[in-house]
Amino acid sequence: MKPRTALLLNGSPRRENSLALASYLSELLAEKGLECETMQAYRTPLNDLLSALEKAEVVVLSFPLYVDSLPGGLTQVLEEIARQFDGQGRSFAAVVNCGFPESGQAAVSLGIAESFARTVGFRWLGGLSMGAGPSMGGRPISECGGMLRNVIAGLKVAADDIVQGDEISDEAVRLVGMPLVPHLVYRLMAGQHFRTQAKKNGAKIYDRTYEWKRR
Amino acid sequence: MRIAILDGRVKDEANTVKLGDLLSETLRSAVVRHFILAEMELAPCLGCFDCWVKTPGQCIIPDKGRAIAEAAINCDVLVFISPVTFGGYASALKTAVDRLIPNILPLFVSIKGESRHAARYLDYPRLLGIGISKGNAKDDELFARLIERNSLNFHSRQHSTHILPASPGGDSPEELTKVIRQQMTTWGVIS
Ligand SMILES: Cc1cc2nc3c(=O)[nH]c(=O)nc-3n(C[C@H](O)[C@H](O)[C@H](O)COP(=O)(O)O)c2cc1C
Repeated sequence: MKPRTALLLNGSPRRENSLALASYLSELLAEKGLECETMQAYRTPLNDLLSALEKAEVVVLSFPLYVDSLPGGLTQVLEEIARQFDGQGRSFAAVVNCGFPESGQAAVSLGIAESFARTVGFRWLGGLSMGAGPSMGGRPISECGGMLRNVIAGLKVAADDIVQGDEISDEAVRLVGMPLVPHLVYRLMAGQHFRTQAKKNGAKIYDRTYEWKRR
Repeated sequence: MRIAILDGRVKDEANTVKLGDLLSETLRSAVVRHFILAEMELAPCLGCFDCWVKTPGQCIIPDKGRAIAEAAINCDVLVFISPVTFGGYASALKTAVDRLIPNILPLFVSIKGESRHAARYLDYPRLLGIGISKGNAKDDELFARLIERNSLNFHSRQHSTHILPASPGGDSPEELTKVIRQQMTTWGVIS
């Protein structure tokens, strides 16, 4: 069954990379005629979330990888949804972006998203994972330039799948999961980014705050 | 010998509250810190990275999340206890675990072909994960994979996962004490 309405949920406490992915997918789905709504999972009253879920025939959860799984604050919201909502007749997909360059590091988190979806009674459409998420810098995807070309191509394939009421295809998964730059380059750049920020704050990144109490 | 337990189960007198005391009595030489997370209402991580670039090593949120991060590095054995929730941790435990990233560095290294954050400290505790099953084998397996991945990212010296049945008493203080003791014996940290 082809969906007519979609809910895109930002599962990050911030309005940055996960939101950029959700917003871009929302644009793609809207272009194809779906009625889309984007919402924050954090800090939205539960009743508003529940009524938005009620209206949506397909739900896409976009979240950042936090310590190999979903953020704690998001997990709390999902526990609440599982207690109060029946997803029967609706579909669910997930998009995760992670700070490490290897998109495969998010595999467990997609398993968790799937288990949540099935527990609630949703039809599971599949999940996408993107490595090196912070490369987006919270910018809209369309402004990120050529670096994201494969991710963009993959999101387009995924959006087509969703519009058709199909499961997300392997091709979409493959494209979204491709490295943006070589892993070594990313690790150096991302590390340098944190060094620069710490320096600006006059902070010493190597501080061993708690070491004095060690055995 | 220090043991820190991050307990993500709902608080109840019979199963949760007594665990810390029973474990201390059983392992006389150990200092046990038992955090019953459900009653602590920790603020979730804000994703600000101030713990890496502003106050390195410490979260900017001034609640008990700081004491938990401190206990989680100053111990020999770190124990995560949680009902298996969608194959992962219940939100109470997950919120606490997110607050542990001050204990690693923002810098990246490659270990066994995968990116990791470099260690902030010289050594890290062993990680013991205990999941209370809801009877779904696939979820239980996912839980064990999550413990394994966490052990890699937190540089745990060793790790192990135990899945306990949800049957009444399956996660009683006696049962948990037995599991923790057995694992510590296997690791050779107690005799
Ligand atoms: C508490 C915390 C834990 C994280 N854990 C991981 C992790 O285990 N693996 C990973 O690749 N990235 C991890 N990250 C990085 C985020 O996934 C990454 O920065 C992401 O782009 C944030 O998305 P957002 O802008 O939507 O919040 C973590 C970030 C935070 C704040």
